[in-house]
Amino acid sequence: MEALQLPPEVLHMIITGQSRKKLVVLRQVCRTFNQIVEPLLFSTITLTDFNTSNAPLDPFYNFLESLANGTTNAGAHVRNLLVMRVTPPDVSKTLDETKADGKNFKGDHEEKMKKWLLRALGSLKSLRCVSWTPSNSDPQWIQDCITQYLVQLPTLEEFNIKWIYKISGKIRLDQISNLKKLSVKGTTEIFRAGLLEQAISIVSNSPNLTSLAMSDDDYDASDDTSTFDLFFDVLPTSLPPLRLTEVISSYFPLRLGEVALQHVKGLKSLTLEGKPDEEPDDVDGNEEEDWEINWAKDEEEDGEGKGSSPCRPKLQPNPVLVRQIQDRRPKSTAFWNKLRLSDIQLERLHLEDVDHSALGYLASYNGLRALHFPDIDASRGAIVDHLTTTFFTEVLPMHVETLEELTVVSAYLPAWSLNAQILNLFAQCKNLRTLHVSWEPNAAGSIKTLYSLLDLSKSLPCLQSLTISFAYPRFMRVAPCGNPWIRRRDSYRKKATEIFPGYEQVDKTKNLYMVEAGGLKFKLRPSEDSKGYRYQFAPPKARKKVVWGDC
Amino acid sequence: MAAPATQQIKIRCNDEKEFTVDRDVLERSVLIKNMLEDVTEQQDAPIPLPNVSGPVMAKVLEYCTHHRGEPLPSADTEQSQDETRKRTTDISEWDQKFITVDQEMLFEIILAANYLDIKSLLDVGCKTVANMIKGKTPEEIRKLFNIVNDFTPEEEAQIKKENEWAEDR
Repeated sequence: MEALQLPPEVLHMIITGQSRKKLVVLRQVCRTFNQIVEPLLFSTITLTDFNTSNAPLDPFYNFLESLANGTTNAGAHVRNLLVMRVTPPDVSKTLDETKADGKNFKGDHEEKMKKWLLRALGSLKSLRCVSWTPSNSDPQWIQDCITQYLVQLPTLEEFNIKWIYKISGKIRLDQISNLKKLSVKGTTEIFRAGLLEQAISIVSNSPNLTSLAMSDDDYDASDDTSTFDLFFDVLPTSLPPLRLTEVISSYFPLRLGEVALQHVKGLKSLTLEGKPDEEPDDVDGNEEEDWEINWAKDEEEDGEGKGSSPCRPKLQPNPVLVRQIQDRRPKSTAFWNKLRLSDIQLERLHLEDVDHSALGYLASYNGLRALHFPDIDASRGAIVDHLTTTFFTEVLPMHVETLEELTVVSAYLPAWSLNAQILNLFAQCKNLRTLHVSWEPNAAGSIKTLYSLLDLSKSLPCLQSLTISFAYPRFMRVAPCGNPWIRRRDSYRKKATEIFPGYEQVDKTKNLYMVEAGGLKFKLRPSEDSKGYRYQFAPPKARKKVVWGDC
Repeated sequence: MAAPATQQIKIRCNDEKEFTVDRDVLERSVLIKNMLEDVTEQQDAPIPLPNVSGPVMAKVLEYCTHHRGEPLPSADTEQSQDETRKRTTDISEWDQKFITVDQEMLFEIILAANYLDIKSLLDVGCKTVANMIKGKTPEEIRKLFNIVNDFTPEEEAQIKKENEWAEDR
């Protein structure tokens, strides 16, 4: 029995998941290994700066040249191509001095380079997805070259363009056709200057389009129409209805007019990124008071409860109040009502702007498979405890049978943090594969809750990923510009020592700690990012991944 | 839970070696689990396993007995399991000791785990092989696994050239 006698799928399992550094070693071993490695190594390539004047020394230039000359097989494995900031050196500068007619020479050179690059790109026979971020430093001939290539590409299924920089030249994308997925990101100005028109042209050429992402980088809240709505407003009415099953849009709420509605009848997956900026006046002064009162209650409870009752006092939503709050968000209410009335029952939803009307919609049917609320906050003009109650008593029970992915995270609101009641509901979601929740270290009984969660994670048979975020303590809620965490890091390190007995630093250089929780030893790797502090947990035994993230 | 007296199942390996094992231990193998579900009547004839030898099966059963009662991973999550494998190269202490065997046996165990469809064992085996490869040059890997270099010099040069770019991309 030898290594090469193992069935290919087993060899594949061994090799998959190795770092690129190891992959390049492995492919040198023998042909069998190379056959497995090549598709992994070359599935995605990035077309970016390459240096023609420095040709023999620039590895990427060499790679492109091998593609153009057909001396490599790598091209056949490329499925994704990223194009960004392609700025070859300015040949004219050096040439001007030596050649009398420098300008003409430059033109010839560009023509040659263009052919060469097209030949290299042409060897990518399995290409499915192209993502392009045009930049104003790209020379015009490169942009021409890429558009020319895209238009002729029969295998292209997915095209993502992020056009957020003003470009002096022109990019013509109209002729791109037969896509299944299209993602267009731009700015309001660039959309108006022709990107929208080009997007419409691509969509018209793509009868099998199922996924459309449309967002502008500089959304203006005072502007009533989102790019998504605008797109459907100007879409020719002669076009047969699209059969979109996935929509990704920035900024809520969409108007979802009559025209748009007929294109999304079969919608299964919806992502609404970000939140509209609301006028500060919108936030009711009373709410603030309400908030403070609850906080005081918590303090009392902390004092006497001592772990016996990790739940917060249960509040029943006051229907009158809920209606009042929701009345201030007419657009959102209209949107979710439209979905409900059109019998669109989403299977996947990613929503940052969570409010009562969204929850009302979700409570109206069964069958949700993925639900992501990555950032619930209090500025939605909603009393949060009511939102929480609605979610856990009316929404989640409708979908416990089907949910596979669930994210319920709130950076500031302890009401959304783990407690015994919430854990019970999670335990019923037998099909959960990923779970991301927030946990508030300061709450009464928080450690017990945490251990219960770790136990729960072992009893959910399909669970593969568990991510736990810290809910910021309430007094941290008022976060001015900048990040209060930067200053508070030390106190959190101290907190960790209190939470986990046996918290010890085992490797100073890697900032690695060992802790014990729920009878298991965990590796703990605090890391910092823009949002503060993050713990990564790697349980050595369980095959499940437990990650501690920030909110 | 008061379970009824544990059902005993007989299996026969390709070297005629037979084992009598508790059903729940054997059901760590998805292959056998599915077989048992298809058979409604109690059968006395042992289940034949033509692809596994006695000594290897003994090892596999040792693993299954140790891990009995743990939830089985779901079957339809191939891709995310690749992900999981990518992140955790850790093997638990018991598994580590268990899998410390000669290379011949290691490959036999992997082969058996693949045939019997015992995902967690296959995983441990694959990770162990991956760990053996760590930090080695191509030549050292060839030596370790007794592999012949079947590239032409031109192919080797081309691969080296591509690697320059591919490695630190």
